[in-house]
Amino acid sequence: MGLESVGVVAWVVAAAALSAPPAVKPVATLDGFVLQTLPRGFALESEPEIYGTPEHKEKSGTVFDYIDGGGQVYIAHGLRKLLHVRMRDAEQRVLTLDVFDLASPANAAAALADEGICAPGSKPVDVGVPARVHHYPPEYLLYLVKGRFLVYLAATDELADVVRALARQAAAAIP
Amino acid sequence: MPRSRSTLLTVSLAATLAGALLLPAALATAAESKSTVVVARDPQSIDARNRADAARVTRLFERALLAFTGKGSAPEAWRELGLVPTDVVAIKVNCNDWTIRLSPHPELVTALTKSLATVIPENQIIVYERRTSDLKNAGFTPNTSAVGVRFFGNDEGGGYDPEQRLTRIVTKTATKIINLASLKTVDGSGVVAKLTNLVVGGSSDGFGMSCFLKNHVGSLVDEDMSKCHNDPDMLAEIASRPAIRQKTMLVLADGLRATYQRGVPWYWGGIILGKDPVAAETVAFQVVNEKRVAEGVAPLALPGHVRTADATYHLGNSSLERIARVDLTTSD
Repeated sequence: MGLESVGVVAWVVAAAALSAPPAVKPVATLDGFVLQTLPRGFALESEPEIYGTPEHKEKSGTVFDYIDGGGQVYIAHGLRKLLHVRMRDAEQRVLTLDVFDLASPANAAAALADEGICAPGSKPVDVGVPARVHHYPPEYLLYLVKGRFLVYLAATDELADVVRALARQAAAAIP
Repeated sequence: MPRSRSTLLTVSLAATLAGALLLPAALATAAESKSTVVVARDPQSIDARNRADAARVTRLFERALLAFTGKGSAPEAWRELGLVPTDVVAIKVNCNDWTIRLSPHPELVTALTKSLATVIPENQIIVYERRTSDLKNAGFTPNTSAVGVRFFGNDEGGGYDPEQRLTRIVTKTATKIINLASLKTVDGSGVVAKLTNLVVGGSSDGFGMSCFLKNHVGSLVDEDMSKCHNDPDMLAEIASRPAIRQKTMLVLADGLRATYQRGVPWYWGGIILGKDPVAAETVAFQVVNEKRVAEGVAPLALPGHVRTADATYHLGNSSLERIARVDLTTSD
């Protein structure tokens, strides 16, 4: 290869590098779930946490370390891992995203139907996948399922629009 | 207190004296041989968005404390409960930040600590939970300094006692304990109810509630916490450990916002106060069941671990015949 050819190759490589989208580190991941960005105005309050089961602890411990006895029902529905993401905006409003890997789509669907998870009185909500919402002022709680994942979102009701938008984004983040 | 506000005092002695109008001092005398539990309500102490009225909550707490002790002032009431100026009081709170927010209202915690501070310096009061971050998420400002009420978790509490397997906040630092629980119903439903029925031998609802007896699960060594899920009677055993049993001077439930069904909130606007944790737990079930019946929901049976706390560990009275329930209702 002559000097001229080397120069062309170098130029092509450099140009490709310049035109490629910058590599962005996902905000949070859990196996097949990848969240690329946070809602506008929100930042991570702390590093995302991952919890496992008593048999298979993850880096943040077990589901009981996060939700104490509330973890039982998720174990019963086949929980493998749980991703917990807590976000906060400049007005100190908190948005919680939890992603439960329940091992199978059937488990995830059964979990959504379990009143031990999604308490009585919930209503369906349109976020593109099966989902239910509770509006217990001041809280706004949303559950959705896609594939083997059950996703839970919580915030105060003034953030209801943000919660629904993040629900759509979370659903899209699941292949 | 505004002149328009009226206070209704009623005492239920095994239902025979239900509705009788008595004065607080008389209540203490009448109930002497029984475990007295005060149920105090002010529906206007909380609004429909979980915002507490600090002044009303303070009055609610003071009234309940004085009615319980039969004394005329906070210092007298605390002395009646055994508090002395050298005491260090640890207040175990239960910060519930998962789904429905049922963490203790800072207004109630402040009412309690201000009242205690009429006898002991504020810095001799410790409000604790498992982790300092739990307190922070519940709206409290962590404080380990030598000024003001201290707020921190077991993770900053000097480790755990190897024999009692409890935080040293309870076993070493504190000389008195207050159990400040939340009025939280955890009735079984769906998959867990089926599993729990198998585990506890047919008891219909497992724990039924997460109130006084479950609160000290948060005082345990971390690795022991989840053991109680398959052994509800462990709750009674935990409450019987020497440090908790001997140092507990008061139990208090924050029911400003409560749940009467798992995950279903209810702005009850009340507190439950006593010294006998088993009697207080029994009355908490009674209060929740009154709401469940009103809402057409089947009442909860008193679960086995409450009866075990009475019959096996002798921690208090679980029979309504041995409980004097005092109802105080404040309204404008």
